[in-house]
Amino acid sequence: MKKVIEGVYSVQLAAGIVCLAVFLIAVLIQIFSRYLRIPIPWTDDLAVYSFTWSVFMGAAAMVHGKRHFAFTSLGDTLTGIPKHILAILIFSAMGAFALLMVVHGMEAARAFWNHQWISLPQVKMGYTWLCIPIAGATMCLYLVSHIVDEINAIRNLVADQ
Amino acid sequence: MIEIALVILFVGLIAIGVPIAFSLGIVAYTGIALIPALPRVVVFVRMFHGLNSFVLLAVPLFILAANIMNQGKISQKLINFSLSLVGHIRGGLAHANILVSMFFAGVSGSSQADTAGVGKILIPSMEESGYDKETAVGVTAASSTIGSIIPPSIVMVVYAGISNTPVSALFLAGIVPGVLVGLSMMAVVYAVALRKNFPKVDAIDFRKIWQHFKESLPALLTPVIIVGGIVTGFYTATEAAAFACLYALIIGLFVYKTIRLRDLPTILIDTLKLSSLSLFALATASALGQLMAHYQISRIIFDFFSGSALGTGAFVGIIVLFFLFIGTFMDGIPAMILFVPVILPSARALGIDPVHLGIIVTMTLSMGLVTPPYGLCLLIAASISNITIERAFRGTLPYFMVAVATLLLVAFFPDIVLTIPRLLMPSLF
Amino acid sequence: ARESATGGAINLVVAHNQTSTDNPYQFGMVEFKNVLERLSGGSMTVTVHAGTLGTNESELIEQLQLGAVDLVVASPGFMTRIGVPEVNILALLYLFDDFEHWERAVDGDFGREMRDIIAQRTNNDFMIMGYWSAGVRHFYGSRPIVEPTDARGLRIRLQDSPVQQAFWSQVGAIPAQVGWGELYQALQQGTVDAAENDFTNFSLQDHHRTRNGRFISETYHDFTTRLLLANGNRLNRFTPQQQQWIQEAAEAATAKEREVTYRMLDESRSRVIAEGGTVNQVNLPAFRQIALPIQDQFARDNNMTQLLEAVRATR
Ligand code: NA
Ligand code: NA
Repeated sequence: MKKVIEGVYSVQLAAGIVCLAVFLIAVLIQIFSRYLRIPIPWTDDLAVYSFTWSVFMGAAAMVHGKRHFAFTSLGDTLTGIPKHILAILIFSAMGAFALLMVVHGMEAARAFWNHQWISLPQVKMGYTWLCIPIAGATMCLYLVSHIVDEINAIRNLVADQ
Repeated sequence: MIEIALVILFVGLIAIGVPIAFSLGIVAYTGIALIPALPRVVVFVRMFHGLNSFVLLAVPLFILAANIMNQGKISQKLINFSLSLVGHIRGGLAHANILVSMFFAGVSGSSQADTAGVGKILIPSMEESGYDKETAVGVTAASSTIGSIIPPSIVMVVYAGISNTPVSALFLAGIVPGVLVGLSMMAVVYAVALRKNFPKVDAIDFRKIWQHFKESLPALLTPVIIVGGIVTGFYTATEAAAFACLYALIIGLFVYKTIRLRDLPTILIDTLKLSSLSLFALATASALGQLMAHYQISRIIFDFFSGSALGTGAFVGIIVLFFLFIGTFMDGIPAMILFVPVILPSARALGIDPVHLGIIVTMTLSMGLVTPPYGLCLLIAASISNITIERAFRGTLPYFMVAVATLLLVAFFPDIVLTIPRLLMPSLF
Repeated sequence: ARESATGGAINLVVAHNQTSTDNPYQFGMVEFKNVLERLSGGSMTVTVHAGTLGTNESELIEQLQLGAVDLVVASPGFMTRIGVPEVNILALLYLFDDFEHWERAVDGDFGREMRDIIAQRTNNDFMIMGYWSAGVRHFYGSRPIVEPTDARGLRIRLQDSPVQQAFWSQVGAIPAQVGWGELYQALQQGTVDAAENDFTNFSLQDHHRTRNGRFISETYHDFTTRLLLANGNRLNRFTPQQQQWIQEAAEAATAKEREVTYRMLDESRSRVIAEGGTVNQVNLPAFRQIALPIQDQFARDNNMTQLLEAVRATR
């Protein structure tokens, strides 16, 4: 199970940096195409949507590393079982939102599936919208794993007592 | 009634430690779900389009440029140059700390990159030279807020996107206030240094200054390339950020030779991590913004200010206080997404220049980077020195106060901000 | 449409993408609100959003499709995005000779046909309630153009519309990508050499005071159409009486929007000249000559030759 999750995480991080790199290159092409007076209209759409993808992939990957900005004051004052229960509560709240990202992200992707990029009508917007449910699903995966870790920690504590 | 319940939900989620980005999203979803017949999927449509703005593309690009520069040991070179300039004054390391933040601000659009890059080197060396930990951390954290005020600035880019203000005008407007904040902090250092008898580094040596200047010249040229390129129209702000990445990469690979190609994935991962955290929060804040639009909050604020006898001064004062408060628990970017659209119509009606408002908001939110409990620069600096947030903030306080004083000066005398952009871009005003 | 908390009145949400309230769209939507609230005797209320529900037309379209908004204004270019390429006929350059011609076409058979095509192709998700306009677009740049060849080599900022790009490429200009918000800078500093828009739009952004925007050549290349859209499926849930009121309010709003657009057009043109913009006439037949084959090609590609001929015949 852990292996699968680490694998998903690596793929997701790689997808994120590829999107980031594509996005940087698209913006650079745009500058040079204007100076060389060669119109390349698709750089605009490519830049915006690879950017959007990289943000969602990055944000999901950050759930794996528990890096999202949060207040830790309450958690810091707790120790033992209450601390782990609080962590489960937090992960569950995040998980609820991640689950909604899957459900409604799919709904949006379906509703707008056949919309197109203006500059490249061959590309369907549906693929672009998929970043939301994919980010949501991977977040759920990481969060379930975090919750399992917390439950195991509580079990160990109970066993020790 | 619903509004109050939503505020309580938000405060509750944040207080128990749910990440800010998720708290914003959950509140937005709950609020929209409570409006009959408004489809819930709207939350996610708004998240998607919140990111779908050409100006926002500059955010990861500026972070990437700063990361490439950091990897290229630019911070070390800028520190050497600053030390050679001000090291001979009493409290030399502290002065250099502030000065290097001003230089680094011209390279980087992000204050956090400055705290991390410069703090890692200067906090330990200040402590070794006999500065107390509070001062080392306080000076570092406080001075890195300048990074968001002196151009380029990610916060200004986001403000420009929300308010439809030219980024170039904002960048130009940030120069004077940024330098003023730096100089006033140096004045405080000078006063404290005399009282606490901080050490000097060594005597002034012009040959050394020249040598360090030559070494840091490629870095010192970055702001000229970024701001100059935008003002002369070589490229737009977003493209300038991409160009800055290319420039940093070229000097890192070929001039300083401190970056190897195989370092690139790591640099990209670091950039992805830092930028996606802010931008995901921005996306969920946009969703909450839709809810606020639905309740027509900006209309309510507008009616309040146009119906009351409060003048421009009171309005500006309230804005400063409000954003100082918001900054204690929220990142600047989502805070702007939520509240700039709300105050903008009122500000326009009161005749406040949007560029001036942008500088006020940027400066106020940059103060939020050092106010506990949620002040990113304070957290980073405190963790480098391994002291508590309370001690760190005590050290920051004198510099924070003088920065607030500068902020008020700038807020009530728009000419300080607007003179340079008016001079260089007269047609905008 | 949603039941409001106060006494069961039905609330409609209408939105456009302009944040300025001194805008023809806003006048039109406020008229819609006034008329509908009067006709329904207060049993239907309207909330107008000026840019607060999104300044991006794609997003407004999506929210309309989802039912989050009841009425939006959008340019035809965004309908091509949702897979109705036919609507791009409205974006063809030199399709209309003047606003009289435009009104005859969109208020006549052509307009009805377009409405049916869009409703049919989108399963009634998008129903045209009225044809609005954002003025007539002209060329403005670093030098005046009289003949099409004068634009050769100029980097011109264009909308994302294939038919427009085809026209200007044919002329010999080079289409360039710059966001609307960044265009002032781009013109001032020479990132682009030219752009095209209507007097009201570009003068509100002071483009005529820039180095590369001060020569306005009246090319009249686009008598623009903007679509007032409702979600047809949601509309059907109202009673026939309510639908009747909405229809009437939309008609009143359309009349108002056009009236304000035409008025602002003259005002803006005078203001531009007063503020130092230089305005010149162009060799219109030569420009039109270039547009005709592009129109024919478009009509052939999209099976719309008859419709195109119908528009031409309403001259
Ligand atoms: Na900066
Ligand atoms: Na510093």
